[in-house]
Amino acid sequence: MTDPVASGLISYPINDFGPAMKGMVIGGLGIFHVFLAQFAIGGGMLMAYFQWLAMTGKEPAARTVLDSYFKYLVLVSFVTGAVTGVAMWFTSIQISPGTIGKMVDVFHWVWATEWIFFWVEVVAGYAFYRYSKILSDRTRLALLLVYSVAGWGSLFWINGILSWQFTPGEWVKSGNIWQGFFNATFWPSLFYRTIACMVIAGLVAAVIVNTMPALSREDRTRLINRTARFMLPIVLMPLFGLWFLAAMPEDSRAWVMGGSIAMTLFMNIAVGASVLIGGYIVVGLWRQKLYINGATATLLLALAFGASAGGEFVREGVRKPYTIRSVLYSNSIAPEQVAHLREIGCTTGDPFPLRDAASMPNAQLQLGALTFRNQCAVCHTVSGVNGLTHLMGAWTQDQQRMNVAKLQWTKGFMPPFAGTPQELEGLVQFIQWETAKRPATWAESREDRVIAQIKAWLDEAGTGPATQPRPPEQASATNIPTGGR
Amino acid sequence: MDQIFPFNLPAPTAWYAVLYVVTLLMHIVFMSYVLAGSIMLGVAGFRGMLGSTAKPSDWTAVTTILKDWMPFALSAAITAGIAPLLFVQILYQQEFYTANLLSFHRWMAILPVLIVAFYLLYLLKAHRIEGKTALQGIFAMLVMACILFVGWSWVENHLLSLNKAAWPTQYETQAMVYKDPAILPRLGFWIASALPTACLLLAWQLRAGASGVAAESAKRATRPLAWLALISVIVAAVAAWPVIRGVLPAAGAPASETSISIGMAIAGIGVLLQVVGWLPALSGKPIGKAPLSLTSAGAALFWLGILMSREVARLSIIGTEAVFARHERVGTIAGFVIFLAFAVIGLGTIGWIVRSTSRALRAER
Repeated sequence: MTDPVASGLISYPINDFGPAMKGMVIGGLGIFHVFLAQFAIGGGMLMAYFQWLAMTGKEPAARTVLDSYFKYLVLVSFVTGAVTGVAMWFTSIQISPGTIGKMVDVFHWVWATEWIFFWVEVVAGYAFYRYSKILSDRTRLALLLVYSVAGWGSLFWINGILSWQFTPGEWVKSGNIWQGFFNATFWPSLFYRTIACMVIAGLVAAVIVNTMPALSREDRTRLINRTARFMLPIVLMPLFGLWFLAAMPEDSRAWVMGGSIAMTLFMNIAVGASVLIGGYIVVGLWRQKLYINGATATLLLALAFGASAGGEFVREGVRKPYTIRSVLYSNSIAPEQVAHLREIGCTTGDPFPLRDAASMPNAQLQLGALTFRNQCAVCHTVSGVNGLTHLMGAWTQDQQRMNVAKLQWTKGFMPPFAGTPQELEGLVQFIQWETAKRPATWAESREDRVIAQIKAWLDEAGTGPATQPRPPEQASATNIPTGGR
Repeated sequence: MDQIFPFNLPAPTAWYAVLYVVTLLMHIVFMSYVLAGSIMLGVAGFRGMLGSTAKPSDWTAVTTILKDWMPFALSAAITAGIAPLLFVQILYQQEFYTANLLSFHRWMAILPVLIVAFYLLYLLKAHRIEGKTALQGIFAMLVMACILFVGWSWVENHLLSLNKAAWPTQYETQAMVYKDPAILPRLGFWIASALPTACLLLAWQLRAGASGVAAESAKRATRPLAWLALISVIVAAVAAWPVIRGVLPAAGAPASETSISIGMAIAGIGVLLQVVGWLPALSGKPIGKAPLSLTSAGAALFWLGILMSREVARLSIIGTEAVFARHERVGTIAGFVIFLAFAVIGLGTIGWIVRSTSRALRAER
C-alpha cells in the first residue's frame, strides 16, 4: 500500500486533556467497552447452554436463571456495549483522527458487515427478551444460538481490524484487505478473546445465581458447577497467549519480555490474574465441585476485569511506535512523510492557532508549543502524566536536542522526529521554559551552530523507525560546539 | 440527469452518498420514533398523564405503547445509526472529525446522555413505579431533555462542520457551544419532521394492538394523532426550504439549486401523500391499512427528498477535487461482496425471527 496519507498531513484541532494522558482516556473506555461487550457475547453463549440444559432436563434450575434478570443483564450490557462501541469511535476521533480515519477507509466494508451482525444480535436479543415466555423450547434455543453467533461474529470482524493495526503483514505491500484482516495475530487473538467472553459470562452467572432467592443451595452449587464446565476452555488460554506472543513482531515481543517494565508488568498482571481464575475454575469448581458464594464470585470477576485491563494495555502498548504498524506512527504521521516534514516543518499550514500564545514570552516558544502539539501531545503531556518536563527536565540542553533529534534511537518505541531543526530547537526551548515554571522573560536561541548541529543529528538518525535497520553512521555528523545552557 | 442527485457527482462519491442516504433513512425511522416519542412522553409526563393512577385520556394508548417500545426504539436507533456514521466518515472525514474535535467534551457528552436516557426509559416501564405519576413525569421529562440534547448536538455538529471559517476561532476560544442562528430553526425542523413519522409508526402499532392496548383506547387516540401529524408535517414542509437551502450562500451554485429543488419537489409529494393519508383519521374512525400505506409511502418520499437536498447542499460546500479524489481511492477497496452476502443472510435471519415470534404471538392470542 503506497498511498497512506501520502497526499499530505491533514491538520486537525488537537485538544488538550490537561494532566491526563490521552492514552488513559481511550484505554479506560476501551477496557470498559471490551469487558461489557465480551460479557454480552459470552452471555449469549451461556444462555444458549442453559437453554439446552433446561430443555433436555439435565438441569431444570437453568430455566430459572435464564428467565430471571440474567437476560436483562445481557440485554442491558449489549446496549451499553453498543453505545460504548460508538463511544470508542468518537473517542478515537478525539485522540487520533488520522488513525481512525485510515481504519475506516481501509475496513469500511468490514465495519458495514459487522453492522449487519449488530442488527441480528439486537433483533434476536429483543425477540428473546419480549417473547421468550411464549416461544417453544426449540425456538428459544434457536434464537439464543442466533444471538450468540451474531455476537461472536461482531467479535470476529472487529478482531480482524484491531489485530491488523498491530500486524498488518502483507497488506502493507499488496493493499489486499483480506491479507490484512487474516493477519498473523488474528486467530490467536480471536480464540483468546472468545474464551475471555465465556469466562466473564460464567463468572457473572456465578454472581447472579447467588442473588436469586428462588434457588436452593444445591441448585446454586449445581448451576455453578455447570457454569464451570462452560468456562473450562480457559485451560487453552496459555496456548493462545503463547501463539499470540510468537506471532508478534520481534521488537514488540522484546517490550513485553522485559524491554519495557510497564509492558512486562501489565502482561504479568493479566497472566497472573488469568492463572488464578483458571486454577479456581478447574480445581475448585470443576474437579472438586465446590460452591462459591457471591463475594468470591465477585472477587473472581474483579480479577477477570484486571486481566482484561492488563491484556488491553499490552495490546495497545506493543504497537509502539505505530498506531498502524509500518503505516502510521502514534502521532498520525506516516513514515514516508517524515523526510518531507523535516524540510517543510510539522507546524507549517496548521490552521489552528495556539490557545495560550499570549502567555509565551517569544515566538520561538510558540513554535515549540505548536511542535509539541503536533508531534508529542497524542502520548505526552507537558507536566502531567507522561509529561515531557518530567522525562526531559533533568537532561542538559544539548542532551535534549540530541535525544529528540535521534528520538527513535533514544527510545525504540518512539517515532523519528518529523520537523525542521528550528522546530526541534523551539520544542527544546519550550520544554526548558516549562521546566523553569514559565518565567515572564525568555531569551530566544537563534545560533546557527545549534541549528547546524541539530540538522547533523537528525541526518545521522535518519528518517526510519527503530524497527528498521539503523542507518550507517555518517562521518560528517561530528559534534559542533553549541554553547548550550 | 447530470443535475440530479446523485448523478451530479463523480461515481465513487455518488456511491457512498447513496449508501449514506439509504442507511440514514433507516436510522431516521427509529430516530423519529425516539425524538418525537420522547417529546410526547415528556409533555404527557409534565401534564401528569403517566402512570396507572393518572386519568385515562385520548393519549393513554399512545403513551402506553411508547413506554413499552421506547427502549427498543432507542437501541435500534443507535444500531441503525452506525452505518450512516460509517459512511459520513468516508464522505466528509475531515469536516466531521474537525467538528467533533472542536466540540470536544460537549460532543462526547451525547454518549453518557444516551446511556442515561436508555436506563431512564427502562425505569419508566418498571412495575415498581407504575402508580407514581409524579416520578414517571420526572423520568419522562428527563428522557426528553436527554434526547433533545443529543438532537441539538448533532445539528450543532453538522453546521459547524460546514463552516470552515469558524474553525480557528472556535478552537482558539475553546467555546463549548457553537453559536449559529441556524441551529434552533434546524432543530425545530427536525422535530417537526420526526413527529409525523412517529405518529405514523404509532398508528401502525395501534392498529396491530401493540402492548395489549384495547381497541377502544386505540380508537380514541386516532384523531389527536392525526391532528398532530398533520400540523407537524405542514410545519416541516414550510420550514424545509429555508432550513436546507439556508446553509448555502445567498447566491448558491445554479446546479445545486436545481438539485435541491428536485429533492424538495420529491419531499413535497411526500407531504401531500401524508396529508391525504391522514385526513380520514380526523373523523376518529380506526385508520385503515390503505391510508396508512399511503402515508408510509409519503413519509418515505418526504425523507428521501429532504436527505437528497441536504446532501446536495453539503456537497456543494465540501465537495472539492481533493475530497472526490479521496472517495475514488477509498472506493477501490474490496469487501462490498462480503457485506452484501452477509446482508442477505442477516435479512433472512431477521425475517425468520420476525416470522417465528409472530407465529407464536398469533398462537398465544
